[in-house]
Amino acid sequence: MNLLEDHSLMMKVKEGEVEKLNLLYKRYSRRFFGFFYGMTKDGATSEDLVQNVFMRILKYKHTYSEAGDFEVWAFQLARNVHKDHYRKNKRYAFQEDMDPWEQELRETKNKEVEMEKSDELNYLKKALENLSVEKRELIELVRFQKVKYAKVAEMLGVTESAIKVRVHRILKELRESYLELDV
Amino acid sequence: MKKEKALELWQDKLTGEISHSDEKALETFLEDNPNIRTEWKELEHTWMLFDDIKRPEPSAQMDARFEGMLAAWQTSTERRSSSFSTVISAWVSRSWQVGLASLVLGLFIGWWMLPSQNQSQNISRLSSEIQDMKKLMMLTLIERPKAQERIRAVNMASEIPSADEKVIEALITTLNMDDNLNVRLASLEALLNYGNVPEVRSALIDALEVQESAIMLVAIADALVIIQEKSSVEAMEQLKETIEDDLVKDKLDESIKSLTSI
Repeated sequence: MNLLEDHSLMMKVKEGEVEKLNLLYKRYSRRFFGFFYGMTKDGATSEDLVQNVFMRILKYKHTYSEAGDFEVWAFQLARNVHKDHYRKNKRYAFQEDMDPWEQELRETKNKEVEMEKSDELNYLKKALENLSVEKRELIELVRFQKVKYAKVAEMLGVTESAIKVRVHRILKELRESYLELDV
Repeated sequence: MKKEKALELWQDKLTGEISHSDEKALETFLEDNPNIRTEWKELEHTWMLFDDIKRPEPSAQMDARFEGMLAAWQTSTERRSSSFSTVISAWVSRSWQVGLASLVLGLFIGWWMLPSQNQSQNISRLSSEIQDMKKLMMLTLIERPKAQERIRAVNMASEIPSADEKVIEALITTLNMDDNLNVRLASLEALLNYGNVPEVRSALIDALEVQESAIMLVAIADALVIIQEKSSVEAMEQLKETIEDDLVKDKLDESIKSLTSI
């Protein structure tokens, strides 16, 4: 077994070598941040939630199983952290601030082409925000964080086929919804 | 090829996880179904568009906070590990059977040698010390990697008559965090013994949101009916709206009906 694999590192953390968590943090903190940002649209909150995930990894390290998969386990913790946060705040007021990509856009030379694309992107982003939390979470995991279907299926306790069908349906819903916005 | 199978392959293709032979089979299917090809091509466009959604980078503060948190954790663990109680707990954890046997033997000899007027007092002290020992053992075993040992710990908790905050907390954590379904089910059963404790009641309601396994959700719904927790009806109604499993939905309906008819 490769000693630098996520699983081996987590087993070491479990056995008390908590400094090994540093490497796992380097590998996963940006992905968790991306996941939380996608769910909350708030950078500061996302940073807090990333901190919570690593706190929970330390607190519940004894529950990590020898047969476990770190990515599945850690993203499951991240989902629970987000659920707790969402439950406390119930719903998010999506920020109206300009995203960095919109600022970048102002500086591009090829403005017209980019504007066309940005319209479509804007509608897609709006449509994403209108999705239910569960559906947005699924797209976040599969599309943005690139967690494999099989692993997401394990997290959600359903079959891999069911996940693929769900993602396909959400994609269809998103497309229909942003085309409506475009009218 | 059926459309369902083709759809799965299409999703594999989007994430780049498709084999060469599957891709060929998918291509043949799409050639025979031009309408589906057009529809899925449009969805592919949406899928690709996600690449243009940019996410900000976290601040450098996030890394600094993590390092601070890890350092604080290490310091507190070092402090804890040098304390006497941990030494005892580690010893018990290594050979708990021997530990329990010698304690019981020692207490029994002590009790037997004492004058008779103190006997009833000593019996109750002996019993309370055995309970404390059981609690300590339960809290040690519940952290073991083997699911069998964790189940043994959870069963041990059922034998402790008085509700102890630490024991209950360990059971709730196990209920929500253990990755083994059997351990989670055993901890739910053990928690039922403390059904009159408010923290346990609210933890069971919260567990409806945390758990994802259909078996667990059904068992929790049953447990809430057993302890007659009427305030769980709202959480059940909410869960019903999001859950897709019909079996769970039926169970929630049944539980809501039973709780509201009381």
